[in-house]
Amino acid sequence: MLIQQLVNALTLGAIYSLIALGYTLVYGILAMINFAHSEVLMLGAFMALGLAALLPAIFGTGVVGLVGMFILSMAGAGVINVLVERFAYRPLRHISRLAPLISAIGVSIILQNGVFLWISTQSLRFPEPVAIGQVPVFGATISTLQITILAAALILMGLLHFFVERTKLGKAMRACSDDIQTAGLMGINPDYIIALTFFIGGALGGAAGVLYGMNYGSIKYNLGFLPGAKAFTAAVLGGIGNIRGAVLGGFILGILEVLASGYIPNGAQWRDVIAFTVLIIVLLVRPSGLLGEKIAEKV
Amino acid sequence: MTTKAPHGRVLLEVKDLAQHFGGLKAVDQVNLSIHEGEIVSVIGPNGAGKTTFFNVLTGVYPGTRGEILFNGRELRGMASHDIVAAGVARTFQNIRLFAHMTALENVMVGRHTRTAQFLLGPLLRSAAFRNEEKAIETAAKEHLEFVGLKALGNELAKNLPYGAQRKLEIARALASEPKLLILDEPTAGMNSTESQDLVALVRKVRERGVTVLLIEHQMRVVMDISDRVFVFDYGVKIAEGKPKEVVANARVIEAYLGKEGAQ
Repeated sequence: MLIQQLVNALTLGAIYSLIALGYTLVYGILAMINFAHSEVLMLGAFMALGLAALLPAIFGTGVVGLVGMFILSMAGAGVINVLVERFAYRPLRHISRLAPLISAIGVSIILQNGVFLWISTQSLRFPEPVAIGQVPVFGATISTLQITILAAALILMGLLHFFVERTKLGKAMRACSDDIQTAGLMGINPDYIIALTFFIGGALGGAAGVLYGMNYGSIKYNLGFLPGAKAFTAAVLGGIGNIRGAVLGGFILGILEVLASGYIPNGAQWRDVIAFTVLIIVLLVRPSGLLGEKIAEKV
Repeated sequence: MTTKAPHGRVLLEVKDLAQHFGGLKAVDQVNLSIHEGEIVSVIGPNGAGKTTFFNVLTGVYPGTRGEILFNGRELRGMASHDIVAAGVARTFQNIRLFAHMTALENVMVGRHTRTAQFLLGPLLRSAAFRNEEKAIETAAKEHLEFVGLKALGNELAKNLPYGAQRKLEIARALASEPKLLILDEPTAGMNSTESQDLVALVRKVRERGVTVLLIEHQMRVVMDISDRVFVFDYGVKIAEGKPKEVVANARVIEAYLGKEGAQ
C-alpha cells in the first residue's frame, strides 16, 4: 500500500515539477510570473492528441510514435511560449512591472477560450500511447504508464540539469538570471537568452501536459488551471527562481496530496486543503521558500 | 615611469559626446581620442560624469549627441553585447560578478561572444560541441591564471576575497578578447600593496596589446601608470595631457580644490 502510494506521489510530483520548472526559469530571469504557462501545458496536451491521430501513419505505433509525439508536442509548446513572450511580454518589458503580468493573464484567457471555441468544450479521450501493463514491485502493482511518466520526467530534468550546468548557453542563462544587464555588458544578447528560456520552459510545460493527459486519460480546455496553480505554488515552496527548488517543491506537493488522500479519512476531498495548508505554514517559516535565497533586489 | 606621447593609430575617437538626463548635462561636449597601446586615465571630482561617460561608451546609456568611433566604426546606438563583440570590455565601480557562479564559470561567460552557439549540440553530444566547451574552459583557465587566480577557479564568485573579485572582473572582461579594456576604479577600496599589485596587472594587460582606459581616484596610481590623463569636471573634459602636465594645470587644481586652493 505504501509503495503503491509512493509511486502515485512520485508520478504526480514529477508532473508538478516539470510545470514548476517553467515558472521558475522565467521568474529567474525576468522576475515575472508567466500566468499563461498553464495554458501552454494545456496546448501541449492538445497537440499530442492531434499528433496521436496523425503520427501512427508516419512512425507507426509503439515507442517511436510515442517519442515522436512527445518531442513534437514539446517543441510546439516551446514555440508557443516564445511567441507569447515576443508579442505579449517583450513590448511591455520596460513599461512597468504590472503590465506584463496583466498581459499574461490576458494571454491565458485568450488561449483557453480559443481551445474552448475552436476545438472542444468537452473532455476528449486521450489515447493510450502504449499498451498499459502492470508490474509487481515488492507486493505492490505499478502500471507501466506510471513508470513511463516518471522516467520521461526524470530524463527531462537530467537534460535540463546538464544544459544549465555544462553548456555555454546554460551558463549564459544563469548569468542572465544573476544580473541581466551585466550579462549584456559581457557580450550576451539578453533577448536571445530570454527567448531560449521561454522555449525551454514551454517545452517542459508541454511535456508535462502530455504526461498529464496520459495519466488521467482525458483532456479538456481548462486542464491547465489546477496543475498550473499547484505547480506555481510548488515553485514558490521550493524558492522561486531556483531550479532545484522547483523540482523539490513539485515532489513535496505530490507526496503531500497523495498521502493526504490515502491516509486521512475523506482525505481525497481534503487533499488540496491539506497540501496548501502545509505550504502556507512553510512559507510563514521560510518566506523565500525551501531553497530560495533572500529575494535579491533588482536594480 | 616613462610617459610616452600618443603613438600608434587612433583606436577610439569620441566627438562632441553628450549624455543629458532632463536638464542635467551629465556628460557634455566631450572630445577625445585614445591610441592603440596606451594606458589612459580619466580623473575628476565625484559627480564629474566619469562613470556616465563609461556607460555611454558601453551602451548602458544611449547618449544624447555625438559620435563614438571605435576602429572607425560607430558604437553609439549599438546594444551592449554588440559593443563587446566589437572589442570593448569593461569592469565596474561596484563589483558586478555573477555571484552564484564559480570564478571559472564567470570567465567562461566572458568568452560568450568569441565562441559558436550549439543549441542541439548538447542533445546530439556532437564532437564539435564537446570541443567547443573544452576550448572555452581551457581559455578561461588561462585568463584566470593570467590574473593570478588559478587556484580559486572552483570558488563561488561571491565567496572570493575583495581583491580577488576585482581581478576576476578583469579576467572575465579579458576573456572576450577586447582591444579596449575599460576599468572603472579598479583599485577602489584597496590598500597600497594591493593597488601596486593591480597596477602591475594593468601593465601586463597592455603588454598583451590591449589598450586600457580607466577611472582612477588614487593619484599615486594615476601618476604611476598613465601615459595620458583626461580630467573631467561637471560633465566636461577640462584638461588632458601627460600626468605631470595635468597636475600642474591651474584649472585642474581649481576643480579639485576650489578657486582659493588654486591661488
